[in-house]
Amino acid sequence: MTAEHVITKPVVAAVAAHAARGVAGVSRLEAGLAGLVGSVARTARQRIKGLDPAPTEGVRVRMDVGVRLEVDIVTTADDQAAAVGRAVQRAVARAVTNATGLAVVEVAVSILDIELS
Amino acid sequence: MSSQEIVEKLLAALREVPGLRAATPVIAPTSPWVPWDWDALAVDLGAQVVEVRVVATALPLPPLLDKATVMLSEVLRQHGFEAATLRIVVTDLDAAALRDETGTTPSGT
Amino acid sequence: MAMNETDQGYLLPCGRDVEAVWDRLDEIDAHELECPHCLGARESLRALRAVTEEMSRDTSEPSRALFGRIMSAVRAEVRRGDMLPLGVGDLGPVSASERAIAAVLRYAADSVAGVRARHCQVWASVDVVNVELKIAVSVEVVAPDVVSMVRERVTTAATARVGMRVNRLDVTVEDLYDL
Repeated sequence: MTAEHVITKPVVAAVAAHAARGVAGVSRLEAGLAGLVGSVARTARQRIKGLDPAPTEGVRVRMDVGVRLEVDIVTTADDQAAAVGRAVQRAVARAVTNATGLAVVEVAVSILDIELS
Repeated sequence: MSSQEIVEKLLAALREVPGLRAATPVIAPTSPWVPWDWDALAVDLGAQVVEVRVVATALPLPPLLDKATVMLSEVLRQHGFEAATLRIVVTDLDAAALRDETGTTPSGT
Repeated sequence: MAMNETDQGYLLPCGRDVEAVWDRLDEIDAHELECPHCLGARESLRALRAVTEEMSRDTSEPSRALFGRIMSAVRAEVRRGDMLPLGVGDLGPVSASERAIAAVLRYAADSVAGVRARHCQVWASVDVVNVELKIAVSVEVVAPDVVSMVRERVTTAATARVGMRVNRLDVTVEDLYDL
């Protein structure tokens, strides 16, 4: 019997958001307007019984051949922004592949703000 | 055996997989007396494709999905669905799945 | 975490204040008609206002906290419009907002005693960044010495804090001030 496994975008985004938040030098993820509008999406996600949806704000996912992610972050005052960006790319790719078995093609990181102090 | 009974067996098999749960939609109850199993809405039993929608409460997914596949396929084979494709869709991730890793709960915005 | 570029709040690259644009969302002046930064901000703010009107009907979140989240989101949207590349690797690009980089460099210049950093603008050229910085200098210091220190601090900050190499750095003393 043939079996297919489908892993949807919120799952990938939630794993990515968690991984990005955990990287040293990341102050927070930046959800932007999509994040505020996305509170509507979050409400929709909560319409599954008993589900406490893991946050996905600040991450966008596209699934073509392999997974492509965009992650928007704010970095801390103590770290070099570019290095933090690269660390986020690695952490997100590793976490998503470990959690889902999916191959990650790209993690485009946008540093929308850098804390001054 | 009716479709409803097969679905019930599928849901029972799914309950044996810790870390996955039927993606039961919440419908505002109009009365306290529920005439059927809402969990059944997470399953589409078709001749070509049997789709089971789940949410994950644990990671990593591949071993959970493999186990669910074994258990659900067994039920389907026993009831004449060996020709169908079994599709398991993980529709969302519970915050609890990420809690275990670091010991801290991820917070929303 | 609040990051204010100036005492007035968050400035768009054209010099207008985002919060002023928000206050005057239903009017428009000659500058805003022509300015892509203001038009972009107005569009984002109007969309935001529509969403938040809906949200405030649904949520009980106090309006102060909601306003904070809105302004943070708006700043983020404006910044998305002007991103500079910090490098491309196996996993794709890392980029940073022009405003965020300019603020870091401005802050570094400001740290020199006797200097008040004013306008800072950066733009990328392949792998490097060009910087235009305008400062005011105290009458009590020797201008060439402080300019030299500003250049050093800005170049260091670009490498250490951002991760970019400075190609061109123009520092203009546009004003003197009395302490």
